[in-house]
Order: sequence, then C-alpha cells, then structure tokens
Amino acid sequence: MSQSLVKALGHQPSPEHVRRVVEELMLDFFERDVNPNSMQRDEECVCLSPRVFEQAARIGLVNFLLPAEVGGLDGSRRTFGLLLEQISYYCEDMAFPSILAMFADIPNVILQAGRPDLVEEYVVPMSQGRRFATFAFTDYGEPLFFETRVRSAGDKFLLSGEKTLQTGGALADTFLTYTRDENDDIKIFLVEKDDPGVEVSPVPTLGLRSAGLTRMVLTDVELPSRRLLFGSDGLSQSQLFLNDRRLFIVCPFVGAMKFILERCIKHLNTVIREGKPLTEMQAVQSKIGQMAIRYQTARAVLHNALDRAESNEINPLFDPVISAAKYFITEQAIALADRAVRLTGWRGYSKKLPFERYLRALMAGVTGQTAQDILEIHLGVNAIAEIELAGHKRTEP
Amino acid sequence: MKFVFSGALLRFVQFEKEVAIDRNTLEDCLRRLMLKFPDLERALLDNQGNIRQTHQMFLNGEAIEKGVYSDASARQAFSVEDDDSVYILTAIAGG
Ligand SMILES: Cc1cc2nc3c(=O)[nH]c(=O)nc-3n(C[C@H](O)[C@H](O)[C@H](O)COP(=O)(O)OP(=O)(O)OC[C@H]3O[C@@H](n4cnc5c(N)ncnc54)[C@H](O)[C@@H]3O)c2cc1C
Repeated sequence: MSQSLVKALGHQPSPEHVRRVVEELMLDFFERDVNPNSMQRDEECVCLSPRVFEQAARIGLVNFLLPAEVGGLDGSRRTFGLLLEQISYYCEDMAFPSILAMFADIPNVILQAGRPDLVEEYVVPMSQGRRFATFAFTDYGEPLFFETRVRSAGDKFLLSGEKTLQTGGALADTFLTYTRDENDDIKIFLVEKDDPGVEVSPVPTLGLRSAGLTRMVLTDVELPSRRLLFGSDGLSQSQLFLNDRRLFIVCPFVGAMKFILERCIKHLNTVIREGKPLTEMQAVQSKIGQMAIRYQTARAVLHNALDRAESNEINPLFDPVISAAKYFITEQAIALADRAVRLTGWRGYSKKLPFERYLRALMAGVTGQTAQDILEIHLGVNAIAEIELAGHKRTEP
Repeated sequence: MKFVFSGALLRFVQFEKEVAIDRNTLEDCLRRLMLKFPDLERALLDNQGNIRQTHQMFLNGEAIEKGVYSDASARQAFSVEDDDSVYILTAIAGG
C-alpha cells in the first residue's frame, strides 16, 4: 500500500496534488480510525491508539522520510510537510499529524549514527510501525546545563534525571534521550520504556490531549554501551534536528486553519440575527476576511519555507526563514482560532463546536519546537549578526 | 586578532562582545581566550576537544569551513593576523 502513496504523489507534487492524494488514499482511514471519539479523547486525555500508527505505517506515512535501503520511501521533507498540512485538514485530531511528524523523523537520527546493529534493531521495525521513538530533550535545566546526567560505570552508563515532556511518549517504546556527561558535553542514548529505573507517566496539558504527552523519570538507569547513539556534541546534533523539524509542527496548523475557517463560515451561515444569516453582515464578513488573510499568508509562508528546506540555501543549524515561518504561522493560527471562538458565541466557547479544542491545540506552538519568545531573540540576534558580519568583511584594496 | 561573540556564548565571556588576543594561530588564540575565561571551554568544546558544531564561526565576516577549525591540530595550522576578526555566532534552541 505504501508504494501506492509514492506512485500517487509522483515527483515534487503541487500542494493541490497532495490534497487530492490525501483525499483519495486516506479519507477512509481518518473516518474509520482517527476521527471517531476525537472530542472524547480530548476530554478524557486519552492518547490515540497505536493501531492508528500501525495503519499509518501501512499507508506509507511512517516510513515516508526514510531511505529505501532501510525500508523507507525516500520521500522529500517538502512533500511530507505538504502531507501533514492536508492530513490535518481532513482528520479531526491534530494530535495525529503531530505524533506522526515525530515518529516519522526520529528514525533518521538513529540512522545518522551509521550503525548496522541499530538499523536492524530500531530503524527497520520503526519503518514498519512495529516500534516508535520520541524525542526526550527538554528537562528542568537549559540545554547547556541539562539536569539529566550520565556517568560511566565500567563499560556501562548510568543515567539519572527527568525529561519533562515528550510528544507521543505514551505510544513510544524508545526515547532519544539527551544527557549531560562529566565534561558537560551531551551524550544521546536510546532509552527503552521497559529499562529498569525508567518511569514514563502522562502529563495533562492545555491542548493536544490525545498526543500522549509524557514525562520520563530516570533513576540510575544502567545502559550498555551499544545504546549510546552519539558520544559527543549531542547539543549540535539536537540543533540540526530541531532546525529541520521546526516546520513540521506548523504544517498541521495550516491545514487546521483551513478547517476552522470553513467550519466557521458554515456555522455562521446557519445563525440568523436581525432576520439574516451572520455571513451577510458586513462586520462579520470583514472578520472572516481577516481570517482568510491569516490562512492564505500562513500557507504561502509555509510553502516558501518548505521549498527552502530542500534548497542548499538553508542554514542547517538555525535557518532564519524556517524559524520565522514557525513563528509567523503559529501566531496566525492562534489568532484565527481565537476569532472563530469570538464569532460563534456560546457554541464556540463550548464543546458544541470544535474551535475551543483547536485553539487549545494550536497554543502548543507557543512553546513547542522552541518557544516563540526565544525564537524572537534568536531571530533578532541573527539579523544583528548579519549586519555586524558585513562590517567585518575585508574590502578589496 | 580579536574574537567577537554573538548569542549564547556571551555569558561565558562575561558579556565582553569583543576580546583581543595576541597570538599567531587560531588554536593558540583560543587557548589564551579560555585561560582568560575558564567557563568558556566546556561551552565551546565537546569532550573530544572539537569546537561544537553549533557554534558558527566567521573569519573577517566570511563563514569558515568546519573542517578548518573543529579539531585542535587544524586550528594550530590556521594562522591569524593582527587585524583578523573571528566572529562566533551561537543560537541554542529548545525542543
Ligand atoms: C505540545 C508540546 C510538545 C512538546 N514535545 C516535546 C518533545 O517531544 N520533546 C521535548 O524534548 N520537548 C518537548 N516539548 C517541550 C518544549 O520543547 C519546551 O517546552 C520548549 O523548548 C521551552 O522550554 P521550557 O518549557 O523549558 O521553557 P523555559 O526555558 O522555562 O522558558 C519559558 C519562557 O521563559 C522565557 N525565557 C526563557 N529563557 C529565556 C531567555 N534566555 N531570554 C528571555 N526569555 C526567556 C520565554 O518567555 C520562554 O517562553 C514540547 C512542548 C509542547 C508545548
């Protein structure tokens, strides 16, 4: 089945072509496996079922980004981003594309270690949806001073500390775990949820409540050296990974924006005030116009950034265009969902309509994949550096 | 030559934006710099003594290839002149 996805998409598909492919190949799957009970899952903080991701793997979504030699589809990051956008439009649970983006991307990091044993043990089963891995980076300390520590014990390692939030942790069996060593360098380990001393528990959150967000506590977890993925400079590895991924968090936001806009218009059409539908009132039309502008600009910014992500113009450590896109789309999406709540009265504020749930989910962008405030600082520093560097250039005599 | 700092490393050099060092190779300059600011070493280097990739380095405003400065022997072979500037830009982001 995954080959039909590749065939249907073709090479460098247009956004509209990707939309048609998602509609043709995935709508049944969403309606059968993802959409039912999405509201109830949110209310009860119940994670999506692992079956959903096994099925996603059969369709070719989980192995999409992996190379063919390990069972992947050699798909491009641009196309995957466009898929996430459309998936989010068609499926009613934003947790699905959010977790999917994580599960599809982590095996690539394991692959980068260039270890055939790890390919066999982790990457291949992950490409088939038999294992899932998430990213355990954030802890109580900032990255240069992580409080999750590792020390050598003969040919083994002992890990202790707490990783505070992982997307899809409730479904993951493996956690890519960043630890600070005796020299304050960062080592990355593959920690398994069943390793003695590992405790994974749910974290109740504002939104994305079916995304299986967890915390992981490590108490003297003893790991053999083969579980060490990168022995030094894990910090830089994390920055390369995050830079690349920063767009994936907002691809689903753009799909959700379209869903909210359309759903909001349909609803407003049914509300009669002063003898006519709300959509016929100019003040409401203007607000809808503002929502449409937010959606169209966010989409244009996303597509531009996805194109750039594949070009050789990208700065692999911190790309200002990608980061600005993450920042901008998040702000537009939140403002659009907020407007939908304002336009729809008590229904919008309640569970009668899905807008409050989407607004809470979109708030994830304020903090996730680098907090917006921090991105502002980095983007400012970057812009200043560009000017300063130009001033340091030697002029030819 | 002088080092110029931007971003996350500034706090490790007591927020001195520019630090002048009088030595002939990049490695000697860095060693001197780390003697002056001992906390810098662990933030700048990994446990192999290589400059962490996350620090972007520029010589006189032009990006320097990583291979040229990452390990100590390459840095020793890297000569610097009195009027050179090495700019170090560091953005460390969370997950
Ligand atoms: C939905 C969601 C999913 C996530 N999934 C994962 C995951 O899978 N894996 C993972 O490892 N992490 C994950 N995270 C965690 C996320 O990456 C972090 O929350 C984020 O990087 C911010 O770190 P922090 O929470 O420690 O914020 P803090 O560092 O405590 O910052 C909080 C706020 O303080 C201010 N601030 C902090 N530092 C500075 C500064 N230097 N200068 C000025 N202001 C500052 C800013 O306003 C900032 O927003 C997820 C978060 C969310 C919301």
